[in-house]
Amino acid sequence: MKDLYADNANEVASPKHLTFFVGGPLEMQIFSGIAIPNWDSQLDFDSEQVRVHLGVPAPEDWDYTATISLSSISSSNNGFTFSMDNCIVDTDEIGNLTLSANITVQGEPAYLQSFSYHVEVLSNKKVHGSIFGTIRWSEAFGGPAAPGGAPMFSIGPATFNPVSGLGGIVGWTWDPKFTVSTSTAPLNANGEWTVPYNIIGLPLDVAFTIVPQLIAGALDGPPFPYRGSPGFFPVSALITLTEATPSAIQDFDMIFTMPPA
Amino acid sequence: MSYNDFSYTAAGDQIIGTHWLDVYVRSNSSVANCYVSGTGVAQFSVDPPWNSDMDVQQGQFHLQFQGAFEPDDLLMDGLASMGIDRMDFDEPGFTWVLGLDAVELKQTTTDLEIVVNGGYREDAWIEQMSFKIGLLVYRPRFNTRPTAQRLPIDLHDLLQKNRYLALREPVKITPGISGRGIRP
Repeated sequence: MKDLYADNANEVASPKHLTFFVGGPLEMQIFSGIAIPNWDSQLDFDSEQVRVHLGVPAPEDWDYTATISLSSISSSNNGFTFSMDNCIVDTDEIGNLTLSANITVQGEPAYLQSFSYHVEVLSNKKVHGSIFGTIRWSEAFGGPAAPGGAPMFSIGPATFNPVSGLGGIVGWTWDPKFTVSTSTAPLNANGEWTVPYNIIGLPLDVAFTIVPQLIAGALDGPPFPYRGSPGFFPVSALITLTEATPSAIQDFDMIFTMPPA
Repeated sequence: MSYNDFSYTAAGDQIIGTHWLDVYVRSNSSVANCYVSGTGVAQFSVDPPWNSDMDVQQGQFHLQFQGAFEPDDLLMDGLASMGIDRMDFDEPGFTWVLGLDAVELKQTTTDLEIVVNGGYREDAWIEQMSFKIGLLVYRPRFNTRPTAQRLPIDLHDLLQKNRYLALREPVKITPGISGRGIRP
């Protein structure tokens, strides 16, 4: 068996990995790259099993599709054979995903330097304890005050204090254990800014009121005539994660009001 | 490093058998909300020049896909796997080489261009190249406006009961009468 590692440029060229969520939400991972086994034949019919270590932990329960194709071959004769079959996705000794393929070369000589692969892994288990989505706002309200991924919003479970006694604070109090800040650069598309958020580690069967908040000074705006603090729609989202729905997606719109005409 | 352009515009050069899927997805690390999956075969029908004194000739294949994106789409991330689908080999007796290497994806408004580095030696040529493309895209059209959610039914009932209790005198449950009552 020949082991190749995706984090070694001499063994796997152009490795690429995408992760996103579909349906439930279920985690979908796509892998591609060019494995470089450098396998050759000196006339014999030479077979080898190649195992590509993708370097990502396998989900708990998963299915896959995988294809491999010849990427780089050479020979110096007109009698040659290159073949690849039995393409399997499995896990290695530490639980990371691997792609295994049988390759065969025959020639005098013949070389199979590399093959390309494309692997799709779908987790059958829904993502647990996560609430994620986007916060969006019109570019008319202004853009990020700082470039890059400077935090713009904090968002998390909060409780509303209508009255907290004499001198008490009226308003939202966020749970610091689960409250997160956005850390990705907002994207402006079609006149609308969008930034993602991701709250993780939430327990099931607990009702959370998810509330976003604009971090002071993070917005370069709003321009006149918009005024005051922003509002969000919805103001809050009441979400209870359960075994049947262990994660949720929730988007928010940020808005500013104008003075009455 | 300068590359030869392998993208000849011969009549036979074309992309065939393409199939595309657009899937609504979400990401917890980006605003991407659409996964575009494409497969097909690119034909490069014209044999490039060669002679036995040449070393490996490196170049780039340019695969153009017009209208792969919608007008407001933004390509967030992507990958492509290319494979040697059909080789052309006429002159035996020399050490020939065919190779495909790094891939680059470019978006120009609604068009997608895939640039594939590759090379050949002697009279060998990649006549057909199979491809599988995966694009993670932000598609504003897929956005839905957040909606105010309805209260869970049990919480709604509780609020109704609290309002009821606050507005009226306690009621007395009469034994023997079925139905829901509110205990004072």
